[in-house]
Order: sequence, then C-alpha cells, then structure tokens
Amino acid sequence: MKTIYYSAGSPKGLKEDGQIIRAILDGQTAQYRLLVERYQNPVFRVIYKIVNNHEEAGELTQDVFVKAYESLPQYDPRYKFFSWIYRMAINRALLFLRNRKPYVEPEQIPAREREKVTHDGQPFDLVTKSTLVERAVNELDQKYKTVILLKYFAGLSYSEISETLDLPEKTIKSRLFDARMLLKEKLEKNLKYVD
Amino acid sequence: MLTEKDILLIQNKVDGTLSRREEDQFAALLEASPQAVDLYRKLLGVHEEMYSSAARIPEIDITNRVMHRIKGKTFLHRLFTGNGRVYAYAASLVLFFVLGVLAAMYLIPSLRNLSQDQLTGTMARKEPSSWKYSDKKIDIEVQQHQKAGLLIYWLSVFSADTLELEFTPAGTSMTDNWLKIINTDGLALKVEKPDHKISYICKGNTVFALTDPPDRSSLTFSLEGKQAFHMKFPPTF
Repeated sequence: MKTIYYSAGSPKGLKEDGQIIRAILDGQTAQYRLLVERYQNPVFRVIYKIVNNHEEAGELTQDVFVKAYESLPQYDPRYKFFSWIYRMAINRALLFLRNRKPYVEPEQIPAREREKVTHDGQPFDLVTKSTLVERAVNELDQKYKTVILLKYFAGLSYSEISETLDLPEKTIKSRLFDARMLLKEKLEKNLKYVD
Repeated sequence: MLTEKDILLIQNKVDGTLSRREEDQFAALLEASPQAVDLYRKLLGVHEEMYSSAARIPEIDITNRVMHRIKGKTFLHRLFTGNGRVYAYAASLVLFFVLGVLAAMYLIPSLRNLSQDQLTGTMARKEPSSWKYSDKKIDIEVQQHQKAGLLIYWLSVFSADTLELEFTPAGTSMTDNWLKIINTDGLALKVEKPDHKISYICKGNTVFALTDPPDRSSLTFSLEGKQAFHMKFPPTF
C-alpha cells in the first residue's frame, strides 16, 4: 500500500523537529515554516475527520499551528513534537464541535438506493460509499475514532499513537482492532458488502 | 477458535509489521483456520477503505497564512522577552496609566465638572450673548436676547437620552412664565415638583425660553440623576 502522507518525524536528510524548535526559540522564527509544511496536512486530515467541514478544518488547522508557536517556550522536549501537536489538534477540534451548532448530517440515502449493487457486489458509486464510510467513522465512540484518525489520517505507528494519547501500546492495538471490527459491521450494514 | 495471539498476528499482518518468522506463522495460520482467513479479509478491507478515505481528502497549504499570523506575535514576543523587556513593560505601564486616566475623565461625567458653580465640558462663549456646551450626549446652546426691556434666553437643547432641566429662581416669588417650552421634535414634559423649582424633562431637540430670570437664579441640566451642566444668571463669562 502506497504511503500517501508523511508519517511522524523527519525523513532522512531533513532537520529533526527538536533541532528546528531550538532554532526557533533562539529567534529564527522563519524555521517554523518547516514544521508547518511537515505537519499541516496530517493535522488537517485529523481535524477534518472530526469537524467534517473543509473550510472550518482549514481555519482550525491554522489556529492549532499559531497556538503551537505561541506555546513553544512551554514545549517539553522529552516528548515528540508530533504527539504534542496532534493532541492539540484533537482537543481544538473537539472543543470546536462542542461550541458549534449541531452537525447537520447529509440527507439520508433512501433504502432502495442503498440496495442497488452491481452484479459483482460492489457498491453503486464512490460518492455514496465515501459518505457511508465517513458516517461510519463519525459514529464511532470518540476513543475508537481517535485511534482510527491517528492511524489512518495522521499516519502514526502504534508507538507514536501510544505516545500521543499517553496510553500503552497494547491498549492502542486493542482499540484499533475493536474500531476496525465496528467499522466493518457498520459498512456491511450500509453497503451490503459481499466479500 | 482464534486466540488473542492469532488475532494480534492477523492485525500485524494487516499493518505490515510482521517479521520474516511471523510471516511464516501467519501463512500457517491461514492454511489451518478459515476463521483466520475470514478475519484477515475483513480487517484488510477496512484497512484499505480507511486509507482510501484519507487519500480522498484534498491537501491544503496554510504555511503562508500561519507565518503571517505569527509575524505580529513575533514582534511583540521579542519586545517583551528580549534584553530591553524591562523598558517594554515600563512603557506599557505608563501607556496604560495614561489611557486609563483619559478614559476615566471622558467616561465619568463627575470628573469633568470642575466646579458645581461653573459651567464645565466644552463650554465656549461664541459671541457676547451666546454660549454653547456639548459633550458626548448633550448639546446646549444659550442665546441671550433683549426684547421690550426683558432679557430672554433661548435654550436650544439636544439630548440623546432623557435630560432633566431644573430652574431654581432666586428669592421666594414663583411664576411658571420664567421657563417655557417653545418647540420640540422629541419629548418635552413639565414635571411637578414640591419645592418652587421649575422642572422639565426632554429628549431629542427642544427649545426653551427663559424669560428675565432673577439674579442668582440657576439652571441645572442632569442626565441619569447626575449634573451635566449648570448655569447661573446673569452668566458671568
């Protein structure tokens, strides 16, 4: 499976996050650009999957990076920058959701439309499937949704998710397994998957 | 029946984290257990679906906007954390003190009344027989005229809020003719008072006529119970 986004930490040859942060705290503010470029899309994807709105997610992503910059003097270098910023992103998105008017779900897809499958059992169109997948993720309990977001939308490994959420790796694996099984159930129910 | 170890092996296979030895274990598990095959297919299906879902989210580039937003913060940050930060804090304190004093003088009317016996605010004598007073909420223009041996004062009053006018005549004689409403486009009412003062309340534009007030009489304008403007007769400025 092709990796389509950055996993946490810097690829070889590029500056480590810690190096960049030290430079910024020494007054080289322009270096912050490197961190923004590195993490803006994974952070955006995580926030987007929580708030389900492209424009709002974009604004919130900016807010997170500005807030992270302001908080750099308090940043504890014992922890990785990515775990710090993802935690900030999740908290910011959840706070936004709490203060926002109730999310209006897309119109219910009529049952007869959902039953339409092609002869080989594949769902009838990508847009509908994408909506149903989104809904399935949104319907997960927050603890399962968070591990799914960090795993697939931020691209973190188990150990990185464990550090971000400050939970043992075993717990992360167990939650991810449960989340996958729950998603499978929901998708089967909505899409009439035929494996 | 799959054990916890089997489930973990399958999950790790889906995540692509198996060692060479574990790959062999996994292959053996699939051969031995249809349940394992079924679970692996289900987990892989969801795994691939989640990756596809992530790939469908369009990318953004907010770098310039973030850098622009932190630019302003950087200047202030340097100002208050650099070597000259003591001076920055001292300058801020002085600035806040000055602004606070100015705000208090502007917002608290009583501070603007220098004396109860004198006109305050932006009172200015326009010409030998005309005076004007104005502040945030009130505009008063007083014009003195002489007619048939009588001194008549035209009071043109504008008030955004309800204003009280109280004429206190000197001596014990009393007549309603001293102060009268000539015209109004808003509210203007006479208020009965137990003492021998003449009171009106008005709002908007109102013109009063004060006719031949006795010496040492006074006229007071009050807003929300607080004196805003006070005039003695004859006017001494």
